[in-house]
Amino acid sequence: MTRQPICRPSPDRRPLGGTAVFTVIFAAVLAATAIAPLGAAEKKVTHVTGSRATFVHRLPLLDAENGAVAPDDDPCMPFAYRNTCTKCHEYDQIRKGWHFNATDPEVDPGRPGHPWFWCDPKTGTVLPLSYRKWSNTWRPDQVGMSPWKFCLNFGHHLPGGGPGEKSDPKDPAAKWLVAGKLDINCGACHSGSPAYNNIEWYLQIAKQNFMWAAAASTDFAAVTGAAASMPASYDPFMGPDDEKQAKKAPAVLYDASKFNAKKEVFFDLPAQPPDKRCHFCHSHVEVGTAAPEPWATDADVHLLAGLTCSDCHRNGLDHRTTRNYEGEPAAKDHPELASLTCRGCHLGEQSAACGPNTMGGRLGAPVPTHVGLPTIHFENLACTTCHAGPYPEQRTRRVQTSMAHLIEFQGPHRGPDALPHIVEPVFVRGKGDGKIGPWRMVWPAFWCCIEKSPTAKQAEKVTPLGPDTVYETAKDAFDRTIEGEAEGGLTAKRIAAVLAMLTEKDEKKGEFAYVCAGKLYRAGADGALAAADHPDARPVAWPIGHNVRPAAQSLGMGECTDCHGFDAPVAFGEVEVPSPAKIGQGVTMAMYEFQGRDPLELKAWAMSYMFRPMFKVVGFTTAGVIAAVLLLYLFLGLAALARWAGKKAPPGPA
Amino acid sequence: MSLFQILSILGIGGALAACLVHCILVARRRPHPGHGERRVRRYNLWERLVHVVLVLTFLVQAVSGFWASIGWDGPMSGYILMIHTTCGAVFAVCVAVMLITWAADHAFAPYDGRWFRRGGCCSTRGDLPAGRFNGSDKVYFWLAALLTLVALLSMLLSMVPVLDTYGQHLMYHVHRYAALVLVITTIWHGYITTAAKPGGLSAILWGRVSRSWARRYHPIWGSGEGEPARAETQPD
Repeated sequence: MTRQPICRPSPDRRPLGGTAVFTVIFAAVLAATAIAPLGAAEKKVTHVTGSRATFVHRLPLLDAENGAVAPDDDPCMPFAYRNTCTKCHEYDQIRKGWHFNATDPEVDPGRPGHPWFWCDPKTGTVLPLSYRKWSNTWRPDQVGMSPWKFCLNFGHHLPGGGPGEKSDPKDPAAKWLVAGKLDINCGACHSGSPAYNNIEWYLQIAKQNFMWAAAASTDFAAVTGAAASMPASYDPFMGPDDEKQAKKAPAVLYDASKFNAKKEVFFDLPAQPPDKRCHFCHSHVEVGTAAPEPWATDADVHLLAGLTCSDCHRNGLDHRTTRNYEGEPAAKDHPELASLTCRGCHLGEQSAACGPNTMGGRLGAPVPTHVGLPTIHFENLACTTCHAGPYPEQRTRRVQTSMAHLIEFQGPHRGPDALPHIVEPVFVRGKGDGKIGPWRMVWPAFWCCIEKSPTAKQAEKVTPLGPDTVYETAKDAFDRTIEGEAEGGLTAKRIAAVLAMLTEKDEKKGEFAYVCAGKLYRAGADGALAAADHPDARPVAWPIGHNVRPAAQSLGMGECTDCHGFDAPVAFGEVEVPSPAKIGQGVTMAMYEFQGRDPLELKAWAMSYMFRPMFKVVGFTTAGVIAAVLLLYLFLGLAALARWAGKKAPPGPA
Repeated sequence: MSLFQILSILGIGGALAACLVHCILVARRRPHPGHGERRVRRYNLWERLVHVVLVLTFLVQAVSGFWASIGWDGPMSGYILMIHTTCGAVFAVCVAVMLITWAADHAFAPYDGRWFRRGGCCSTRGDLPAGRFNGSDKVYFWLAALLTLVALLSMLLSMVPVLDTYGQHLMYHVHRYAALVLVITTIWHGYITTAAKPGGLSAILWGRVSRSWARRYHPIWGSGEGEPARAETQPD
């Protein structure tokens, strides 16, 4: 079946004359009159959802322009979930979901989550990015990253939507008309097919085949060619102009055997996303010489107990997947969400809005007794402090994550020193709830332009530069051999040389600096680097929710001194401050510095545990003495009362 | 504001207000003996020493505890908690020592009933029968001992692995409410034995009172009748 081009006029089409215009208008009016009653008769059906049965999705495929797709089409277009699924599921509702709404400034960002990292080892850049207003992150547009570039950089773990639908005309490098939009890929989360391939999604994005990526991930379509190799004038709906172009043009080939007689295709799409889909983006692995082999590590205790990710992290059609922490913004509209937090599920939520879930034990969760644990712990610590993340040791460990390190992909990018250097667990006092909990942490590293602040009290305004901009501007300084330095990498001399070159090539002759290892380095008067503290050099961090350890492996199961000891990792552990440059290496900070706690006070408190057994003995002995004296005089009083009553009582019969 | 914060403010404020009202309506209308030559030994050195430590540790306990309770309705932490628990141990030991030292003197006697029947603390008369300690002192003594025991045990039990979260919460509240009642009664005790009884403060500080004072406030003890024979605290 040959389809007519939609986007472009046919080259042999002639300009319309006055008669032709009248004919067209007349025909349009007639058509509108004929269609209107049909449209009015087609009622919008409101579905009552909620059956536990899985709907069998045998669907006719529709492309991005809502045209029917068949395997023998020419040109054969990739199907689009957006139109294929919209018949039953409103796309505009779904795009409001948590995984797709990052670019919406109206959405409450909630507590910090895993940001994206724009990393480049050559320039020593580790730039945390997020469209959400999380502290110590930068909006991509602040660092000159357009949505197009964002999709190319981070499309590997984007589920589509969000920046993938923000086709900005200002970006000269963007080829949205050739590549198509990166719509929401329903299969990325919902596909239950074991043959579904998330990796193919990214491979297509790397080729700028945005519109083809979702189809390529399925087991009934294969995509060839690359939009990246096509000119900006290429229209995929018209197809290639010639044979030469056809060889490079993106094309989709469907497995015709997967289409039934009605040209429908079966999609294995359970309503609840399978865990393996979640894990593609939300996995992590410890790296380093002391890191255990993956087989030696355990999964989250909830998964081992038989729960799935979506048993707790739920959503309706709006796809506002719950994050399940206390104080989640979504709980304002849905107070019953409080029963899906750690505390709410296990201990119960004492609010009427939670109905029967006030009593805890939801989903079969064991109700903990926390025998011997003073209640102050519940007020100052998050549940995850004792129960989640790796068991704390004297020094933080490095981990790699799906979103930051593409651990699902094999290749040279997967070295143990690959940027960013994420350290965990760092016990941080959260700004929102004021509770201490385990967090992951990354120290940013980037080149930046400094703008003097109007007052001495205010920090200088820093504007990060993208690694490509920096490298392009100061290529010579990065690549040349520094005199007297055998080793490569970002040494102090090279950083000074890059800063000098950035200043030299800058039209405004502004001041530049390099941020790494928690410091801002700028060229000093003598040419040497001068380090200073700066708010934008502070680490970006986000709380650890998983993996939750079994109760028997909780922190504090051994002794109180697990946390209150002189060297307890929770307070006195060393937090590594990694640096991609040669400067700032080997720096560590103490855990208590992230908790706003006084080390002397912590030591004094730890010392009190030496005397605690004696304290208990003295306390119970004293209580015994007081009780004994009270009982003695109580009995003496009762005896005196009995004697008095005996005297007062009338004499009995003689 | 939590219920405990409200009750604390009302309780402590109410106790102070009650003292003020009592001072205006009762204490100022009572006949007070002049401060003559203080020749009668009322408290020996040991008693005064223990009482001073008791008062100091009690003040630390009350201020640190209610600073946290009224201030932010939260449990104490850090240095305040360390000071509170350390002083708490000393306070409890002092209470036990005081109990052993003064228990016999605070045993209720038949004339205590008459003291209460004649109005006790609210009486403006000058002839209420009282031994070394009057009825009010004795009630406070035993009540304070009991409340200290409750506060001590509730704290100790939360330090050993026997109670679950509910039990820990319960003990925490028992500790707070026992302490609140103790503070309220102690404010009254402090007032009624010092401001309402001129000469009482110097008696507990320096140990001696005048003969007229002894006969006015503790006539049975002051005349040497009806009390356990303890030479060092008997009138000269």
